[in-house]
Amino acid sequence: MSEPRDLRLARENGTLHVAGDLDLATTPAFAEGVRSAAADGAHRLDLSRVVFIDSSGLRALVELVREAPELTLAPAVSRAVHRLLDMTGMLDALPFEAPPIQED
Amino acid sequence: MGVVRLDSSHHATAAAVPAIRREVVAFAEACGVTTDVLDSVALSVSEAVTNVVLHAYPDGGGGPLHVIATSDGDGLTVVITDEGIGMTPRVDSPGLGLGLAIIASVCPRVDVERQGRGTSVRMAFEGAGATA
Repeated sequence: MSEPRDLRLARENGTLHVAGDLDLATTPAFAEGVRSAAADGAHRLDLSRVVFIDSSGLRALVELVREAPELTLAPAVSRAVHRLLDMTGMLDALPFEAPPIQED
Repeated sequence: MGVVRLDSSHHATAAAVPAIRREVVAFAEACGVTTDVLDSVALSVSEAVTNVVLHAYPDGGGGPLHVIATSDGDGLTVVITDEGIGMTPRVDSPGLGLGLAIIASVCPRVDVERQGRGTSVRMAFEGAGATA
């Protein structure tokens, strides 16, 4: 799978670690990577290394959660993720394993 | 410090979103914009350019997009202008319809102007030039 250079996905056991930017340019590869990992049994997303996210990234996240109810999110998230989810009222709307906390 | 200016033109596609975001953030950083405001600049520019890609040129082929950023030492103004059909709502919108609302949340002043041809989004930020 080729990924835009600004997005890095790494699987570790059942977790997919997401690093870099989530925007209009990277969300197709992000969605493809999450679906591929889920098909292999990785249903947990770690967003603690997401440096930037905008509404395109948020939209991708919401869609992926809708289509895969088994998907969960690790509670430690980056400042960028926490800020956007807080701003849009989505902190309580996504399937975090525990209340999300800002890691950095 | 006098007025400094960034003036660039792009072809509005998905790849332009991170490219323009970084270009404007680098300019803002050079102007002495504080870290908190830089985050707001990055988010606002990303949303504004995304709106152009998705709504001004909905056929996916992109089109002209112009960026002008100026700083006079007290504030930073960024203007994103396209030559497309305007912010026509799309039932198949790949966004959440949150773009302008997000800009309004993080940008102290935003003005959207429909011109003869195209749309112009002007965003003004404070906090520039504090150290310049």
